Amino acid sequence: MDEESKISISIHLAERAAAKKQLQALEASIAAKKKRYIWQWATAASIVVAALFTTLQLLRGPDYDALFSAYYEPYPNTIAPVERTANSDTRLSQAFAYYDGGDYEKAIQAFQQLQQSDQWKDLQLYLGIAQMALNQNEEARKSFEAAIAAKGEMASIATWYLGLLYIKLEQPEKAKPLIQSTAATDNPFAGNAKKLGNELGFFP
Amino acid sequence: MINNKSFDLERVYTENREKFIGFALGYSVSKETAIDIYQDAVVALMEQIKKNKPIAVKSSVATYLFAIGKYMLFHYLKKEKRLTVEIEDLPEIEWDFMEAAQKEEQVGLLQLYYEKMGEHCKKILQLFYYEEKKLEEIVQLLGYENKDVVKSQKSRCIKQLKTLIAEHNG
Repeated sequence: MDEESKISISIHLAERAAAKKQLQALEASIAAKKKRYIWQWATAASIVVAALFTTLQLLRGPDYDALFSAYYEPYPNTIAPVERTANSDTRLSQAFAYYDGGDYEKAIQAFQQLQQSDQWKDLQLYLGIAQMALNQNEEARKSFEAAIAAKGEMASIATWYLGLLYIKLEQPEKAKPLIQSTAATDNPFAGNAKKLGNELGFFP
Repeated sequence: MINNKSFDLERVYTENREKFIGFALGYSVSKETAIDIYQDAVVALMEQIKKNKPIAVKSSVATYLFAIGKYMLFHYLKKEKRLTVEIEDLPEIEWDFMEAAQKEEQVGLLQLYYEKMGEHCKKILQLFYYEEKKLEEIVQLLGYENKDVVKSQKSRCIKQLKTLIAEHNG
């Protein structure tokens, strides 16, 4: 190879190397742009997802299942404590034994046989709770309404449970006056009713 | 015909990049290799344009770029002994990789000291050897009085380059 050719080739190689360097810088800027674009896209996408989630939550409204689970507990047996004597009404004791043991099917049958009992007004609360526990919601509603209408000692308690039943059934408009009423009267659930009512925007 | 002034490097590079890289990846090369070969193809395209080679007479810039890229990809695969296509399938491209010359020590030194030269000398040598411009064209491009001045200036630059290498060899 003569000297002239060597010079020509050297200059070609140097110029090609310089051009390649220029392209490598261009490639790096494309990669950086792409990365920036991906980040921007990901940020925008996460904002859209968050907005969609919030909108869906707003559209879906409160999680009534969760609220019911948080506030519901079976009302304790205050009528027939287990240490009753032999003279006690054994049918009543048996009904509450089922109720206290969580055997709601048998409790319902036992309570229904006590319709002639003096305590029937109040027993309807427990009957309603047992029915609600077994998802016999329509029967439970009737039992609670009967307990409220009877104006017995358990009427205010039954109001609270009927309110909770409507929460369970996702009918806040029916639950609202019941929760408001429970919160306004003197009963063990007044505090819980205020809290639940606040969560659902029932109070101004 | 496309020329040095109308050539938009960034646009050409970006517009053809994905297509070529996708094609090269089909031959089981890494993405880095695909990008490297694509860049070599763009360098070749730039060189043809600087030399005013009539690439756009026969084909569009994109077609030429793809053809030279394909030629370079097959050359790479052949070197790696991974070529599965018939040699007849290779695009008809004239391209000198100058691979043998790259191994020569003196070529390496010339390249090194050319890069270290002043801008003025580099420009004359680049126009004459790389862009293959005639002396009359260099007169026009760099505003010299006549081609004799360019000729003597070019000789001085070559002498300077040789002196640098002689000094290097001690």
